[in-house]
Amino acid sequence: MNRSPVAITGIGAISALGTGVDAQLAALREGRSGIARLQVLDLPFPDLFFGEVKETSAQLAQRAGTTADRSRTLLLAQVAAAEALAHARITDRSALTLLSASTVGGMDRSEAFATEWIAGGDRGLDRAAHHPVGDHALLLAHHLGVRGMVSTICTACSSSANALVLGAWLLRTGRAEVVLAGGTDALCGFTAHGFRSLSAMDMQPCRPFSNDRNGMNLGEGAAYLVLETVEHAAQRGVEPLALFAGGANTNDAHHQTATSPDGEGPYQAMSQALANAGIAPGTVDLVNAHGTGTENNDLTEQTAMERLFMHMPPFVSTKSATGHTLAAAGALEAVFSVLSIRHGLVPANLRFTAPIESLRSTPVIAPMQRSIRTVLSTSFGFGGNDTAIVLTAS
Amino acid sequence: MFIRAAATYALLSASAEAAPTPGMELLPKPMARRMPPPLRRAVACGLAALDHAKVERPDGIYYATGLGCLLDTQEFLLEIERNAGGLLSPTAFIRSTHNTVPGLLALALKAQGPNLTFSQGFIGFHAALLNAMMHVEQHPMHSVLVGASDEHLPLLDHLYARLGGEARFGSAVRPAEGGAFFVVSGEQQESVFRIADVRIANVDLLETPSAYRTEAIQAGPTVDPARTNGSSYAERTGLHQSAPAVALAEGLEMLRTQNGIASLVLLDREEDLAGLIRAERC
Repeated sequence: MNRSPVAITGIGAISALGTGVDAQLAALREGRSGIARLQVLDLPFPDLFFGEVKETSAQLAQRAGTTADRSRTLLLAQVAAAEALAHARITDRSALTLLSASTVGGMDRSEAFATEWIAGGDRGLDRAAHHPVGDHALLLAHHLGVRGMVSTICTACSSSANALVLGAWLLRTGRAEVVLAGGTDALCGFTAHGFRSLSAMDMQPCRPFSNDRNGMNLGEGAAYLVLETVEHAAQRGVEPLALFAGGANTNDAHHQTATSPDGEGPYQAMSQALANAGIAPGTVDLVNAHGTGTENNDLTEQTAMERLFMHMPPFVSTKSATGHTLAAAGALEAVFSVLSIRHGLVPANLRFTAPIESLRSTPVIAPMQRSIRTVLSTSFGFGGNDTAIVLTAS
Repeated sequence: MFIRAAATYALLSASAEAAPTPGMELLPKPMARRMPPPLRRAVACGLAALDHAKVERPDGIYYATGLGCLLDTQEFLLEIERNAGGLLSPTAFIRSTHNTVPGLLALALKAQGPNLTFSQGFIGFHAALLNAMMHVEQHPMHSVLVGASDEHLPLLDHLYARLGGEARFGSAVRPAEGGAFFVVSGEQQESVFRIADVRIANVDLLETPSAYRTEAIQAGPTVDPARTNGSSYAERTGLHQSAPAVALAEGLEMLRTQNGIASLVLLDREEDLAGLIRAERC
């Protein structure tokens, strides 16, 4: 199989840390958190903390040069995807492939009227047509002028990491020339109610990998990366920002929402991703972990990491700064991984107080500067879905 | 990519509730008891395809759905309305993700290989098929499960009527539930059919190739059959976004039983995104 590295030539992101890649970098360097009470969105959760993008949908629409009568999921995607394409200097989008991930799609707008439709009502029916999760990708493709393959990946919280793995696969098999891959999810009542019903939400800003962790904070955002073969980037005269060296998707096959106690699924995803990249665990300089802050995830993920690495590399959960952005998380953390490689930046795992009992390692608690050539980034989702990707310096 | 087995089901109207779905007897009983009927049918169909192929555990599961687990999504929306501010049951939320069916299949089969879900209206199944193809190219000995399913609720009839569905698709096409699963491999073994081509691109880039004119062309519900010189399958499969998968299963049956037809082309559209599947006798 062709396992040649794939060039990452453009990145774009929007999250609770700000709009644009430069804003993400500044916040990560300062160890700043974007988690707070809701300031912009009108959702009934005064008791919860969120990683909210502090721009109204009208502001996002203005930024994207579009109208605000669309799902916030789409608006976030338009902002981040346009930044990634501009960064990669992609002007001809005719052959571009778009792989976009989302879990909520148009739910942020349809949930206001959905129960009325179920009862036979007609209010707000125009929103129903834009409810399906795939709709955002088609509208994003129209917005950007994409004319190649378009597909939406829906594997819950590992969705956009899988979009990157697939993008590399399409490039390596010669099925695509340039791929725009990433993900987007807006905050909405459906997911906030859902994770609260699972008792998965920390009532305080989250504390990933800390012994006193008590759940996650839901976030929102979008991130996209431009992938192309190294040869294609060279032909265009574009220097890669970093390389996508490999990735793997496995299934824990243990439980619909929880990871197996021994972290077998996460372990398999991480070890297979490194094997796919042809990289030994000992050369990993940083793990940007899934680290949601829930009891189950952090325990099993760290258990898997301690099994994989003889000497634990620095590891962090940037969800302590952004909240859990669901389908956007894998791509957002891939963007952070590119920034780590480019700028020698180890971001902070905020609010850590004490190591998890029974485990020996601790995350990095304040931003650090050091040379980083290889980052392993993990994303795990409902349905036992486990994905890991490996990014390296070009 | 060779097709080792297929299984399909379709519920064309509420009165067809009793229509047999393959594989129901294969569902692990404790799991089946907890699953709402549409979910049960989809998972059972996947198990049936594996059973037909005599594959105990697939090396990968590639799945597509247009609207996901609609019944559970609806149930959780109603739960929020009933209980806003109170304690909500998470059961429907857990099952509301689009990857619930392949997740449950993995759980039932202890299948730890890749497990991916795509959603792109009528063109979701094509992406699942394309990824299955990439999988078996890489690992020809592997057996991979690929399929699609969609549910049907009265809500969809309401939306169909209000959003002009009948005017667009004609009175013979109705929203329905259905799905199909296939076991595919890179090795021919006993296979009689293969998938020769899967493509997804803008409709302008995917005009019907002239070489396909002599073959059986089945047009999806959003494709004008007159333009493709073929026939539309939506009246038979019902209208749902997994219809291309059901049409492929039907088409293979046609290839098997009708002499003189060696290959089949399925054309589908979702707005200006087009998908093409070409299957042929080995």
